[in-house]
Amino acid sequence: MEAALARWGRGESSAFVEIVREHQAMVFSMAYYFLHDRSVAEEIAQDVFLRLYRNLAGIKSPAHLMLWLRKVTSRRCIDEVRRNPARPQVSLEEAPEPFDPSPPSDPLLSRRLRRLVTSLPENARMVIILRFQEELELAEIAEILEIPINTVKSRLQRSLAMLREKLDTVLESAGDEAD
Amino acid sequence: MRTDACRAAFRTVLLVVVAACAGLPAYAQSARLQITGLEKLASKAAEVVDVTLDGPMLKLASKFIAADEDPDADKTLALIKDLKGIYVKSFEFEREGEYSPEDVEAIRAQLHAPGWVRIVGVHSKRERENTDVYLMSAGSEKAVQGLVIIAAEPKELTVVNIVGPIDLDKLSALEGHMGVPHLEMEKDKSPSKAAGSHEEKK
Amino acid sequence: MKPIEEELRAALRKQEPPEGFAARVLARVNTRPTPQTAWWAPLRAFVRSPRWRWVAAAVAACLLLVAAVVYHRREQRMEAQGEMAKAQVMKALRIASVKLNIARRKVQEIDRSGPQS
Repeated sequence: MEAALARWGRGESSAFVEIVREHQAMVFSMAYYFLHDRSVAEEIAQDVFLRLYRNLAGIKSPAHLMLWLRKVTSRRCIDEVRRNPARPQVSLEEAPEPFDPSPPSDPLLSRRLRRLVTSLPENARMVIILRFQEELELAEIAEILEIPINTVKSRLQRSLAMLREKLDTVLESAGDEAD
Repeated sequence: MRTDACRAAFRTVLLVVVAACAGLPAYAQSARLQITGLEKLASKAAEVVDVTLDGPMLKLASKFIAADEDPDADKTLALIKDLKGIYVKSFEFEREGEYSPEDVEAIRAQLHAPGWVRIVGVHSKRERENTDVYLMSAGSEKAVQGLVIIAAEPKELTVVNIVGPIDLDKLSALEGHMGVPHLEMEKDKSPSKAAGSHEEKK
Repeated sequence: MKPIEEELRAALRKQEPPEGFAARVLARVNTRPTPQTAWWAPLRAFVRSPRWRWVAAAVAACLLLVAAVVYHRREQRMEAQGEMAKAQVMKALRIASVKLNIARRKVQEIDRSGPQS
């Protein structure tokens, strides 16, 4: 990635495509898990890369690039929810899941979990995504969301407790239906 | 020949009237005089006092006088409370004859306007001191609306113009208070000294 | 069931965007003005950055300081003006009072000497 940035610095515009391809999954997934709408997620991801194109001259290193992309994507996602609070959520039962080359441990459980994540408050939702999609440390999440580390910690704990409780309820009702 | 002299006299009178009217319009209805023609005296004078205080400055001064701890401050405040302006020009010369009576003619001319009344005119031939006090009254109760004092001494010329309701007794009583010196003139001067004076009262 | 953390990692695995995403981004890039034309972009980025808060706080503090200095100087100027106006009033009243009393006393002297002469 450093090479791509260096090439961009030398004026090679093809370096930008390389950067997009390298990070498109991260940006798109953050938006998709946050909003659960593939078309809106793609729109947001495109916006983020357009902004990157305009600001690429200010990016100093690959680490800076990652931080910048995560920061802008988080902010853009939260803004989108605040701007359109009534945006209808696509039902996971109805939405076709994209092809995933690495099968999850339990596809049904993963689908339910993703749905439960969407039901979390927007700030807590982004903490969960950054923690479990991006595998970031609490300090890194705090830096991206520009909040104190203790807030990240408490939001994470509260979200996990909430998810556990909801998942148990969902699984119990599913078990009852199966019985 | 006589006709020519009449014409010249008429022309002079007309010029004086026109000149007086030109300077008057803004002040005709108020007790504010246009104190002009004295500027040239400033260069000859050893000491010049030039005070120009209009409404806002008087209000500002009132605030500071009110804050004064002097027990006589209330008297001063009562005196200036409703005044609209205080204007003073005073020149003190080292030698006699540095100014002429004509220098104050432009001012005296304005005092011929309706409303002005000379209440005191003291003209001392021996001491060559002339003091005239004029008042402007208005309304049915003839309330005082302005005061002018023209004091001409051999080495001093003073013109005071106070605009607004002024109480002469209070102004007079200010002597000896708030830093105003008390002059013991009655004791100093014998009746014989005043005998050479010509006095007019209205 | 695995711990929920493990399940979340599995559920939130990264997904590729729909086919042709990069091409679509490039197409949008080419239809948009180049970075050079967006002269206000650095300013906007700066305003949105956390550093802006510090700059804004510093600017606000400076403005407050300037306002305080201006107010203090204005007060000082007003005080000087007020003292000067007070001194002028006293000087004017002193002159008026003295001149008025001179005239009064002369009138009194004449009144007194009149009947004698």
